[in-house]
Amino acid sequence: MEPSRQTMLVSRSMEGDPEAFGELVTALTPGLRQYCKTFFSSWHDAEDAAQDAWIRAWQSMGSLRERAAFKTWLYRMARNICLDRIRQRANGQQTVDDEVLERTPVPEHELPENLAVQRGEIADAWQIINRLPSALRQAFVLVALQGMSYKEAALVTNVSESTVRGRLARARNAISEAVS
Amino acid sequence: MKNLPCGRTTEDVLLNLDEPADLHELQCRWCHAERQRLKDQNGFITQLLESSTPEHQPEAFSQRILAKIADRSPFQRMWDVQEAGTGLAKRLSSLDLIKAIRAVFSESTTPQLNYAEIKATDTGIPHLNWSVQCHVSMAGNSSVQIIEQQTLDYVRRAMSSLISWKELVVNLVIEDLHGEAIDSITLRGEN
Repeated sequence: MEPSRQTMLVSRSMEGDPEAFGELVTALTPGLRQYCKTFFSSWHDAEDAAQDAWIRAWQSMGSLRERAAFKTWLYRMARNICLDRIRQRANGQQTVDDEVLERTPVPEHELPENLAVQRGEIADAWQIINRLPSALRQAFVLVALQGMSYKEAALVTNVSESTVRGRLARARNAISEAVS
Repeated sequence: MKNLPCGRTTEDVLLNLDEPADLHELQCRWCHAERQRLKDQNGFITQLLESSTPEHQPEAFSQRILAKIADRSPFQRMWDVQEAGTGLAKRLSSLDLIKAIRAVFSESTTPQLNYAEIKATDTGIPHLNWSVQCHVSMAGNSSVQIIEQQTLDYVRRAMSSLISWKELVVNLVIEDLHGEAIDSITLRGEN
């Protein structure tokens, strides 16, 4: 979607126009869903979180200050929802630290046996991504898959641009080793 | 991370993979080959990720979201107004009024309405005094004076087509192409 079209739809959504909001949902959900998948092993959970993010976005449109920054605002909201859900699942403990969560790959039992795979054997590339710690997965999906700038990815993940750069390099290295 | 024969490492190349190659990389066959290898592998995975993402039906998803938000707190306010022409009491939402303003702006080629907010400033029923915030961007061959006049005129026309009103304050924000405010002014109209 053209950035100017997106900004126009955001403006109309802020004015309370559900049709414009629906168009935003249609255009941005595929990417948002992929981003949410970096937190969960199942696509169902990712879609569920994306849905909640949109509902929260609708309810909070009045608080959006920078219309051009809608996408990072939405993704940050989705990130918080995903982290909250992971926390809730961690035996209801409220003390799980964001950093601990971000170092965590998806549960071991859901992963394939071997890290190294041949190109021809890859049935689902998400299995490779799932092996990375969450922070690296997020950096890879936001920048390499969705084309966000380092600055935007930094805003979404609440870290510095240089941290995003480092995480992305580590993610790419791990992926490269997995497929070679 | 692998050490390359030139002294650099895979990490050095990876950290700048999204930037153009620097002078060393342009002249170094080891770095050049490493960059190509990494780009190739990562491109391969990116393609695979796209193709192995389960199918999603964006239209159906949007419909579900719209159904869910339909009964959730709209940030719309409803206003008691007097209908233009008939004089009948009526309730209109901010969105109804903004849509009328947008319709008038859509006929214009000079100021483009980016965003609008509206609220009544009196406590009476029906409301007669209004404050409208208009964020507009202007065509390159226009002037601020023309935009001010046109914006006030358009808002007046839109309001008059829907409701009876007495006082109108238009807070005009002129924006650049990126939505950054470059000027603002308060305009007033009376009916």
